[in-house]
Amino acid sequence: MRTILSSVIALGLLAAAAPLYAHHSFAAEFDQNKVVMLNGTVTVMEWVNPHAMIHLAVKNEDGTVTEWMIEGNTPNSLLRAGLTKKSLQPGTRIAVRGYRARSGDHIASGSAIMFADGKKLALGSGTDAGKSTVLDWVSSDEELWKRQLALLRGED
Amino acid sequence: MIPLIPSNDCTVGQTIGFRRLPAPRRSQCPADHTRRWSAPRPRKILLYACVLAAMAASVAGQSPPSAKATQAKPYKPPKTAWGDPDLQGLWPGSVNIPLQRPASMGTRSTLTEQEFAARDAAERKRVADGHWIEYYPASHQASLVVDPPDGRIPPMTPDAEKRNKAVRDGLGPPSLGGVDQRADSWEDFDLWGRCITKGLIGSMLPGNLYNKGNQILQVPGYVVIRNEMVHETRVIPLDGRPHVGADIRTYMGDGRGHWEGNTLVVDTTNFKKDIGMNGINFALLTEALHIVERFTRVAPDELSYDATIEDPGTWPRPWTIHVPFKSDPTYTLYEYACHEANYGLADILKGARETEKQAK
Repeated sequence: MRTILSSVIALGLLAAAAPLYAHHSFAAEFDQNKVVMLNGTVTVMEWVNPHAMIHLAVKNEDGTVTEWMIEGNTPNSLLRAGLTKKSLQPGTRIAVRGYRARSGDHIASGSAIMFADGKKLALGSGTDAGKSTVLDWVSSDEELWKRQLALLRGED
Repeated sequence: MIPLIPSNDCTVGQTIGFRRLPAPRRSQCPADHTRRWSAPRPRKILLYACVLAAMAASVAGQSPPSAKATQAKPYKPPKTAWGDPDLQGLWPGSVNIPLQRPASMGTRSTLTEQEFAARDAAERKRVADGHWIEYYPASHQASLVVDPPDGRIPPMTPDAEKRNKAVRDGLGPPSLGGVDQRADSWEDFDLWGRCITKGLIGSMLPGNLYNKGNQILQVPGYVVIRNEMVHETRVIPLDGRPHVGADIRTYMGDGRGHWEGNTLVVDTTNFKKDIGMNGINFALLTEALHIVERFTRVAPDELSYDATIEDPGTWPRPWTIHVPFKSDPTYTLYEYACHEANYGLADILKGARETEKQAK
């Protein structure tokens, strides 16, 4: 794929810690070596089983828009973790860190999201190698997150 | 080194990562461990009870003090309006006990305090890692499997081993899961991956990472057991009727219940052939699968659950699990309409094809 999305940064990583096995095999669906950082606007939040899906409109460098689907936890788990129907209304701007689907489609498993006020939330997927806790890896790549925040606030 | 849990854990919940950990149950707090002697809280009544019990044990020279204390006041479970023992309530599998025990533990069925702390610390770390599972307090019970006495599921018969290897479980292309684990078709996924069921006893196991809710409801003549995992509901008659005919086979089987004192005994047969026991193994079980469950309310907030699994075509001997389910009236069973948007299945098949293409 030639187009490098301004808001998509693929990070080649060494072997990452395996995420917990859930309802289906994570490794079969997503590639842990393809970490993506997306910045865009929620178009739909699908509260569906077995995994909630956030649809995110991401503006490409050439001005076109790609719709990504971000897999989250089961709605039951998201609800128990404190997310509500109001949390991701259409129009909400978020940055998402995740792992891209092996299919090559614009689908990713979401590991963390950040809102325009800088608040970050764990969506759930695996952690990267060498980052033992979610605090570690969400707060890691600080510059990356800062840039995402600037994008969310339209300062970039 | 394993980090020890702060002492104030027993009074307040704790925020780790993005989750707020619930305050551990009273039974998790050393100060409330009336059955344990570590760090007792200076409560006079408890202290007096402990001293008296210890003296009694010392005189008797046999039973531990807790046994004496327990014997003194046998728990009498409440009854329903029509006189059955009342098991109703929400009994989520919110307890941290692994299915099997490490072989190195032998027949020791209880954890040391150090092992207990390590188990709980590992669980807290999991939550802190941001995985989308909730925190579940550890138990001193070494493993869910209590029989055989080594806490391990008996080795499968050679024939069952063969069947087990044949199950592919949709783990993707050969590069990921080996040739036997390909994802060529939806049929390469197990029943859970296909959102059908996690089966009996998979639906009830604390091993589920999420959707752990179990609810028991009773009406005259029936007990109803609901599992949040793939929203199962078993309606179990108690009137002594025989099992349905041998030709009728279902994923969750045909359950018949009766009371033995305060214990509900549920005998389940008529399972479909070739179902797995998700969370246990992927072996395709035989039609002879027979499960006997025993439910006893042993305290206002504890349900003792035993399940004995027998399938001679799979395991040469029966084996039994024990779960001390704790009541949690605040737990809500949400609908888990698993196949509602099972994008994962299609994504895995597509991903497998893409990986094969790239390998060429």
